[in-house]
Amino acid sequence: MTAGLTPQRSPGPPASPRAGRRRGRETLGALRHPATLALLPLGVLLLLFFILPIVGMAVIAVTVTAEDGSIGVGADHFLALTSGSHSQAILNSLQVSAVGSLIAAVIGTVTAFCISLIRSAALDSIVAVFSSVLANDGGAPLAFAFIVTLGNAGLVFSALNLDATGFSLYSWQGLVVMYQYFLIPTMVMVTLPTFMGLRREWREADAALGGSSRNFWLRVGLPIAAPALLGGWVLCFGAAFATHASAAVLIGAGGFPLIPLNISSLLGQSPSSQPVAMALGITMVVIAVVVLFLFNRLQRRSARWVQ
Amino acid sequence: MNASATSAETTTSRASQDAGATSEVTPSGTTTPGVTTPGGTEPGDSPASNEVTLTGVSKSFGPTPVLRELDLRISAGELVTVLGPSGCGKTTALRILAGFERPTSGRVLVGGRDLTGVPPNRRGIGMVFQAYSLFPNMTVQDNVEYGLRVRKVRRERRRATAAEMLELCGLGEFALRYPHQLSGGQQQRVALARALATQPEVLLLDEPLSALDAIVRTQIREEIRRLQQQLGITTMFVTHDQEEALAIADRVAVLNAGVIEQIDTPQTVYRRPAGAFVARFVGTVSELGAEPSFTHGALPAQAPGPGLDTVFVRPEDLTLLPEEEGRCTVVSQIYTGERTVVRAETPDGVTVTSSVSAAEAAELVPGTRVSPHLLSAPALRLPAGAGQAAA
Repeated sequence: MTAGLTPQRSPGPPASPRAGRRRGRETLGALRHPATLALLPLGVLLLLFFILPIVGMAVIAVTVTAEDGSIGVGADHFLALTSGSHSQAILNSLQVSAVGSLIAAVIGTVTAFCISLIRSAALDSIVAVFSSVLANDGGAPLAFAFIVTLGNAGLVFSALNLDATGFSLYSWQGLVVMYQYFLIPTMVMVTLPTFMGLRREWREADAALGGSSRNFWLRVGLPIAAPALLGGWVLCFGAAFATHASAAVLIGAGGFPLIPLNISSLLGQSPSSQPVAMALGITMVVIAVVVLFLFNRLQRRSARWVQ
Repeated sequence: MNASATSAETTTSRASQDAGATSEVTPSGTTTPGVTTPGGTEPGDSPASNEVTLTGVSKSFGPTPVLRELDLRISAGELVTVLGPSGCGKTTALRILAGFERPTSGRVLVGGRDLTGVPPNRRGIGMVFQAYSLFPNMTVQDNVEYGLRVRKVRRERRRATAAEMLELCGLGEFALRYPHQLSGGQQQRVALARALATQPEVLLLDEPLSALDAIVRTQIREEIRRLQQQLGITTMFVTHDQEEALAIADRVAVLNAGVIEQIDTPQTVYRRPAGAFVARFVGTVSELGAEPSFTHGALPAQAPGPGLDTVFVRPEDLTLLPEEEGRCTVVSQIYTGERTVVRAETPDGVTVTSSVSAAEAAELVPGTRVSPHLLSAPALRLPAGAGQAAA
């Protein structure tokens, strides 16, 4: 057996505690740059309207007033979420978000895949613009648009005679349908770069090595795209979970409890209801943080492969 | 020039010479247990059956012809480099052989079998791409095993073959790394190991070294040549780098505008180019006009013109003698280590280039008046009239 070449120095495995410390030092060093001052307004905004409110919510949510008037720390307000309308709101939010994001993930993935096959720069630009606009669209106007088309007196509702199918826009299924308006573009926006990044050489290497198209997708294409697909799904879940205005217009208070609607309702009631609203809010923040963390990890993995 | 006129006779397979060098790493169709030979070759076929023939292959993309009636024969175990400028059709020829492009007309044969309509995954061809084509979601080992896996080779056998190939390419310690954890050179060596693991009948390399730096490029070039000779695998190597083409090949095919201008040994292509294009494209050449009666001695430094032969002279076949009344003036020196390339010009812009030793270069500083002298026969001489056509 002939020995090969002396292996060159390798970049080596990237993730090690030493590398992590080095990156930390580099980041601190970069923050000493005068240009960092430009981040000050953003930092102030984050502090005043993101960090302080969350800390305030957390403090209120865990502050418990005893019968004798003494104040302490407890989980009473969180325990209140385990029953009644609030627990139903959590379950409903999870249900609508899971189903809505799953449907959007499937449709968005197929759409992005088909767009990537066309390989048209003009189409990519158009899709990118429309996806980013639609993904951030929503609120009351969206709900009104759906009411006009799919509401009980809506144009499409009448034309397709949806009444006979039992479909109602003012139900959780209606919410799922309405959410597709911004969830599908979100999914397309997140996954299209991944499909575009699947190199022709990978397919050709698969073929040269004797692999079929099925082999390629099962062992190469889908595993490479999987982090982006899962990331897109997670992001859609988060987007659906946090939607408030359009759901409020469509469903209103009490019809179909959702976390944002219940928070809104509690804040409009007596001050004693506020700690429960805060507990509900903190629950939502925790779910959002988990979603963002998962999305970030999956995106990083996907980006590393599709570079 | 028709390629087939000069092809295939010059090289013999090296497989037999090195048959004892490796135990189971043998060309396609030999005796590795558990490995189904790709492309339908029966076990026991000799490497000599892996001759590649492109016959009358033409390819057009829309109205643009890329290859024109290309004839190319690569003997079993031979390494042919296809050299040419960008857009000459060299990569298209390789992709047609791989099955990624269908020829507009003509046939592709490997070992006598017509593969023209056979899809790439049933051709039994190994390929190393220009860009990094390793599967990023797999470790080095899984990449190398991939071809065996799709052939449903048993796991233990796959592992053993992959380990053997990685060892052969000097990558044993990197088996569990991912491609992004390797340097560019290491990635290309993994790609080579992956392509060889299935024991393909033919190995195709599409400018595999173009993304690497000079030192690594030379190392891997030598590595590819060593493995190719050791395994006796029929190989087509596409490149636009003439030094690379000459250094690695048994024969070099020089392609221009979809036509093979010359196919021959590197020495012949360089020393005896078949035409003006090859003379200009391969190596450095001084293109001068000479009287038809001129044979040797002082070379008149004049441009080709009516009534003059056109001579193409390599730098090592020409010396520059310092003379006060010399017609040329030294304009530059390029130090290349062992030799120095000296360039001189006449007042009317005719350039002559000579390769001289360090001692000679000391007397040829820029500004020195010199006269060119021919040391040996020019690489190419086109008679009066033909030289104008070549220009």
